[in-house]
Amino acid sequence: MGTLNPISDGDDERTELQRLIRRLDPDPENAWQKYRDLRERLVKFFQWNQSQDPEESADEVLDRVGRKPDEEEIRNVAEFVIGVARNVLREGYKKSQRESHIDGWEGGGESLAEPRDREEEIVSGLDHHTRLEALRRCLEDLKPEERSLAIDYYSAVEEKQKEHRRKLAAAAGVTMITLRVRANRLRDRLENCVDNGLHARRSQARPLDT
Amino acid sequence: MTNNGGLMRRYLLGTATEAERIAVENDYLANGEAFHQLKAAENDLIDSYARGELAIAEKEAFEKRYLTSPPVSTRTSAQGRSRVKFASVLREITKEAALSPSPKEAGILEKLLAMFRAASVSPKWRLAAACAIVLVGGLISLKVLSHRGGGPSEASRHPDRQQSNHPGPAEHANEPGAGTESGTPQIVARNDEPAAHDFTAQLEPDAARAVGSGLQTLAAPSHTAWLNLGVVVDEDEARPLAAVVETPEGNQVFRTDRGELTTSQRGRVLHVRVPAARIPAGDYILEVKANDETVASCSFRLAYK
Repeated sequence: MGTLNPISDGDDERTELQRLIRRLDPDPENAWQKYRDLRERLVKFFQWNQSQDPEESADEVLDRVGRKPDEEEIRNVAEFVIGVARNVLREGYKKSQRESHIDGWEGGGESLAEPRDREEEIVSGLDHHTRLEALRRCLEDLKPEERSLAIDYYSAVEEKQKEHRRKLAAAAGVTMITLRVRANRLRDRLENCVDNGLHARRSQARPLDT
Repeated sequence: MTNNGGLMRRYLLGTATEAERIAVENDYLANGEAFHQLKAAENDLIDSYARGELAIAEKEAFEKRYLTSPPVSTRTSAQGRSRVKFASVLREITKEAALSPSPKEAGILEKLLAMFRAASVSPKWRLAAACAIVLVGGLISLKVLSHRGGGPSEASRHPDRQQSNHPGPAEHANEPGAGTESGTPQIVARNDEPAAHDFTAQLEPDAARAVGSGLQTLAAPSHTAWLNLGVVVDEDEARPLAAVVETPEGNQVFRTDRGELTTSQRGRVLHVRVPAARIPAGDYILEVKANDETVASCSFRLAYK
């Protein structure tokens, strides 16, 4: 992509990252945004493909793309990333198959997590109210028009959802797709806000380790 | 792909064919809009699961894909559970806000009950009124339950969240100017009932308030779900009335044309039910409009205690 200065031998992680960034866009600001977007998509790709560690796998893809020497031209970064992502996914499957085989002999590693999951579920049942209060607080932090959109968009039951959202889009003077993307960005913000609020609360409640 | 809801759902549930899966992935890894559409479809899927709207096969696929550990990692399944919980609370809050019960519905029921109670009515009419009460009550309940997306099981899961559909007369109204200090906010209503989710207050129109009497303040309990606000309107106003709540900057946060008019010693009062989720603590103006002409305006400060 464009003219790139060759990177000298002895590349470290930083130079790999710099190389990747430059491959994404010649403008550094755009490139960082593209990097964040790409990483987000890769994390979801691995999540949707039931990878054991989506974040780590996404970083592995980006590392590999960054490690590719400048001399080897990448005509289409997106296509190249997709190919690398599929390779990492396949390797992950093979690795987890091997591990589950070994776990099977040892009594199953993941299955040990189940009793803790059940306990977690009981505890989480108790924090429904806390979560509700956290969401109320997060809604309060939104601008009035954002709050209205979040509430209106998600208030319809499934069978009336399409018509309801069509009316909302018409009222806002935007397409259904634009409205959907806006509402989901708001939802992401709210979900992160609730998670952060709960995390902060748990951190405060947890006694300090001595 | 972005317009193919069925394909996106199959991909998310892991039931898409290999060719479909590759096509979807090529699309969203290269195209930001396709990615956001897929994320939105995932949120809709999680909402549908939280509402119990998925077909059995889809429900099983969803649980396998998002909640069960294994096949997904413990961390992924914990994230899945967290997202379902978020969808549940989002649903609860949006229902509270969207479910604006019509005071007219409650009014019909009350009129029928009054008819039933009337001693002068013949047994035949009493029987007819009883049938009508059962029918109207049933229809209202069905409407409320369908609005909540649940049934009796939903109601019993959250018995503490049941709403009153009868916004009665203002219970905590102060007389104008009582106990006020010039220039300081005046607390006009407080409802400290721990079990109540409704908070009722009567607002004084700005025009009727003494200059420098300060902003009227509503101190609602933090668990309030609904604000029942009453505003005195002109005796002669015969046009249909709408109520609008705005911020001082002019941002509309709530509007309804479903207020209920009652007559009290203070004159005609318009009662409106406002979901608390719509108006967080802050300063607001409630305007009563007839054909978009403002006929009453009340400034107030809302606080949650």
